[in-house]
Amino acid sequence: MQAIKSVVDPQDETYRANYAANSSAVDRLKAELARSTKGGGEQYVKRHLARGRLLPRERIEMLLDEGSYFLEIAPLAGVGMDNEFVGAGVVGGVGLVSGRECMITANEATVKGGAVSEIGQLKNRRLSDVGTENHLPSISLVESAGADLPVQAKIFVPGGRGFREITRRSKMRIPSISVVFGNSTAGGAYLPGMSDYVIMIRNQAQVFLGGPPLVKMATGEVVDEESLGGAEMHSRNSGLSDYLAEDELDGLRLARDIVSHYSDPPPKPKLRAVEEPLYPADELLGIASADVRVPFEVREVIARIVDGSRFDEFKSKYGTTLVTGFAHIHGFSVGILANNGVLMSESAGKGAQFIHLCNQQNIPLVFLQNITGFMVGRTYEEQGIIRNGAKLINAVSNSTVPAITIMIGSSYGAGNYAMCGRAYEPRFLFTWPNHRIAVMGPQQLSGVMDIIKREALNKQGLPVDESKLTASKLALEAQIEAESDPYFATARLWDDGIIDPRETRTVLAISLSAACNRPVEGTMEWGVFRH
Amino acid sequence: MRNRSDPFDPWSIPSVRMKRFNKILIANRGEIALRVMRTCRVLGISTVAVYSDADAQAPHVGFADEAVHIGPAPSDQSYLNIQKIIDAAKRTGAEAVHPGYGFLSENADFAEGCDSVGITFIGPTPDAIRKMGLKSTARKMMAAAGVPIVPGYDREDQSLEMLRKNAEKIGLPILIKASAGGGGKGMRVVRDKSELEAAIEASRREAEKAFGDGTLLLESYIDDARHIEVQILGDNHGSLIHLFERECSVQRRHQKIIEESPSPAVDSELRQRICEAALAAGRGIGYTNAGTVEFILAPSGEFYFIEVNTRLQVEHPVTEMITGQDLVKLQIEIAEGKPLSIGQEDVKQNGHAIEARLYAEDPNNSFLPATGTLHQWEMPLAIEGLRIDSGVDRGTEVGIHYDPLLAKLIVHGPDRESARQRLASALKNLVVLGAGTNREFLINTLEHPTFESGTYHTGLIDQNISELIAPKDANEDLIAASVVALYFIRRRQAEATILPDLPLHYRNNPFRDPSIKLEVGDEAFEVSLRAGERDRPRRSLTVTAEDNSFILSNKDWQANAQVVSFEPGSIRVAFDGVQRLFRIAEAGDKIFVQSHSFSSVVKRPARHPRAQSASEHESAYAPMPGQVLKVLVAAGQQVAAGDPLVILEAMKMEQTLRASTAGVIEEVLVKQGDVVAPGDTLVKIAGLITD
Repeated sequence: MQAIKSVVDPQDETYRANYAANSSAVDRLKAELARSTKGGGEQYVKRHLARGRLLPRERIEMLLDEGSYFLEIAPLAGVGMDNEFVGAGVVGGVGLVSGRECMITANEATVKGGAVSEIGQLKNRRLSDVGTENHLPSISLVESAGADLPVQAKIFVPGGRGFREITRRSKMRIPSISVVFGNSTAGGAYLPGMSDYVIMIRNQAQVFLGGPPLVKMATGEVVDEESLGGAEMHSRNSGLSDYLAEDELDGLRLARDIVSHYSDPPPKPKLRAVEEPLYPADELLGIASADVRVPFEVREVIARIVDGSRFDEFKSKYGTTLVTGFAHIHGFSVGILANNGVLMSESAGKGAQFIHLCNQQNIPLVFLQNITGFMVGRTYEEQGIIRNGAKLINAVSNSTVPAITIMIGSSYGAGNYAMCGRAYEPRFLFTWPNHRIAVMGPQQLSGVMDIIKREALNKQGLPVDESKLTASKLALEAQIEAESDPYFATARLWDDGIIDPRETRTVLAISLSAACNRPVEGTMEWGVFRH
Repeated sequence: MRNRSDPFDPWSIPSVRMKRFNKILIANRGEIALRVMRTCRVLGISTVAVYSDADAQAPHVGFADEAVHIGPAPSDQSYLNIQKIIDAAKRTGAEAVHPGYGFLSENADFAEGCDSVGITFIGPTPDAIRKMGLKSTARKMMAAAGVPIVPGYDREDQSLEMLRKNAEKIGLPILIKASAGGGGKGMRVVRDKSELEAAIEASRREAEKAFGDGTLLLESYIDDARHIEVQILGDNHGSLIHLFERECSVQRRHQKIIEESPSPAVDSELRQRICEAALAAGRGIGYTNAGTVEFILAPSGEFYFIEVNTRLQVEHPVTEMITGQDLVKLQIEIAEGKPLSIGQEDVKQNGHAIEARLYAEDPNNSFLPATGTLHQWEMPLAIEGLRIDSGVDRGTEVGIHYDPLLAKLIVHGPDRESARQRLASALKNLVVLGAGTNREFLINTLEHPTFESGTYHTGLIDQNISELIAPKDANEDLIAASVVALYFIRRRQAEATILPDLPLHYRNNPFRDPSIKLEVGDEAFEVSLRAGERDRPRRSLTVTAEDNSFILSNKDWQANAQVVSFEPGSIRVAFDGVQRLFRIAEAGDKIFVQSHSFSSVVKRPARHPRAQSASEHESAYAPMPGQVLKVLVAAGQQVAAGDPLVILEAMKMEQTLRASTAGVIEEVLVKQGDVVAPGDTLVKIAGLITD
């Protein structure tokens, strides 16, 4: 396999400008991430620690194997949103427990007592899906007051799905553990209730359908919390708890012990010996355009992600705006589809063919998305750009090998779909801090709206108020710009998180390895292709 | 049947009853059992080992042609059980028994018991053993033979009053010895009148326990004396020769640890006189077989008889190395009734030999015996003139029941300096992991200027103890913690089955530096691991990782470390460019680390410690492995803080455990004779609540 020959010049002006801009974008990312680890604020953290309890992230650290990675999913969910804390009150991700890749979630008890917010509910759902789609055993570190009551209208109805998913996974032989560290009341009681294994921490866990005040209201019975739903009671009387833990660390040890008894996951594909890329990942900051309107050579990105920078390009001279080829990442064989310009009929067809090949050989897909959309214009419509684009979307939609998408620049229009955007259910989807996402670019969108408005006015024979139209155009452009922002996107779970571009290879490796917990089985069945 | 009149058969000499041994039982264990067996094998004699429960897998059992189980681990039920050993000899048809040293080697009843069933005891006559075994008798006989003796008291009246009076008459400092004793048991030096009575009592108790005989001997204690002994050999045909002296002044708690020959304090004139005195002593008692006459050499140049050891000494190899003789072979020949095959003129001193005794013990903790499994045990290679008499192997369990001697390293060189240097080098290249040893202590002693100069005396260790136990490098603990941290990092990577090449501890959303908690001695290290650039508050030890390079730092120390190579059990690390190989063995929560000249035990507290239910109760725990000598309290009894609870005995130490708090004895969990492991709860005290 040939190694990509990089032609990047770190002294180049564009490179240096990109590097400066992307570095500050990464700095902002780190700052936002640091905020996400602060829980509900100093006061609540102090109060939690004063009760002798571990913080959710400490619990995760003590649950994970020593030296294990932890790939946190959607750490910035809820960022910048009203009534939301950064992280949306729950921490979740993939890491190793007793040598096994697990989906770990922990309620952030210092945020509204671990109550589930609107985005928290969305994040819980996403974390649950990551477990289901990749067949990852789940471990929930529970300490939650239940639904955030003032926003119950937004979460009550969809929230039930989480409980259904636990038992569906159970049926699929993907086990779940709940370790109950504190409150787990009302609906929340079904989190342990549905789990395969339940561990409760002595003198901490409180699990009941209705707390003492509600019981008194309903039946007049006066009962204290410990007798009503304490760990001791559930371990000795109700049978809801399978293991009574002496303290938090004991509970985490028990969870580790349980996982150690799971039988092995299906064997991973045979891995190649790992080679580091030939070029430093740091140069990605100078390669990726800070301004997404400026295209950049995607092979330079591939050269800094794949083993030995080796890339076997498929159809390199045809449909050149989409780069396709085979490579390895941390030993995993992958098929890469990467944008290198606007999608054309040829490139779309080439992409569909490449996806077929990967499915035939059970090779996971990696999409490097930097796409302003499909080519528009009379010639292209005549050539059947829609028909050909549909081929790619058909292939992406029906492909059954795992796909992982990294948004490294723009993600506009149907290009988002064709390159395995969120709606096409890649197993994992991460973005770079320079990326922008929308139906189209803010200037294009506001420009299109401007033209439409002018035409409407003209049709009605009304005068055109230039200043009003300009103001409206600028306002719309600003709105779309804001909504295209990666933080706007990640806050709403449009992706699994913004990553430091230099860590792309690591994030891809963790994602690929996690995805391979489910047997990689490509399909040869597709929707009808419009030839 | 052999034709007794055949003139060509040397065995036909009719005057002395002669026999040739085909099979010898070795009534011992450890290195000496193996050492005797090696000579037997060279001579074509079959060997029989005996072993206790604790030694079922011991190397001496594996080496022997046959082995017989003789009982449970405690030596009084196995290696000291005369009947069982004689039975074993009879069952296997052994014609002779070699007792080694210690155990039954100086037990006249055993020698007699062997004789009575027609088995040859390889050693002197029971009579000689008996007489020399009683130090008081020996003193008297030596005085009669014209051998100089130390002023002292050796009479039968053993009343406290009499002993005290005589002690004062002889003058302080005074040495109290068990008349029946050896190996330092019951021995005490008293310098202060007020301590005299307590010391007499304690020595008597120890002597009674160890030898079943509380008779004590008082001798004037000579300060700055040297311990010189002379090896003698006598046959049954009237020949008696000496094999020169050994210098055994490097002692801790009256236990020799480094011996050499010739003695740097003995010139040829003194050598002649002292060897003559030894021969006079031997002749005076008609000594046969191998024996050692011990003397004290005063700074004045005067020497005095101490005692005769009627057995092969631990340190006999230094004599073998400089004379080229095999003492065990000579012992066997003498026991077979043959005349000595060498005469005095055949015994020549050649070069210099030094022996170091490697013990499982903790020099930093009053030389308390150490226990453990030897996870790694490798002998140094390519050192000229090195002989190793080892009693252990990789995997050997070092327990509490026997002498913690692991091996003797003996080096022969053309002169003292080369022998000394080679021995220190051998010790540095010896790998022993799994139980604490005196390895570094021996190295430090060999490299101490006073030992190097040869001008030392028996006070060498006591007077320089802090220097000898001090670490060579002030940052040893940090190095040990760092090495263990790096080892863990590499081992984890090596053992990882999922994404082994991923950056260690990768977090896309870093929270805190993941850390490893380690303890070295009393110091706790929180080793935090982090990737290069992030700025975090400093902890006690930070390991910053950058591929294979690490920066180790704490408040006042920093080193660059590079992992050069790694394999399970060892890691080669370059600290600031200087490579060193570190051997590592893990045993439970302990990690043993060793390099050329340092050893360390790093403790790794449990990651998920088992919760202990909170209580106001206090307990007394065993600080070391040992046996309960006496329980001084009973349940329900009220105690004050500092009251004695239990007396524990381990090897040569009596340790009194005291109440840490005032309270009521809630439960006594041990009884006299129980064997306890470190950390075992002995007594529970319900603390008094005071306000």
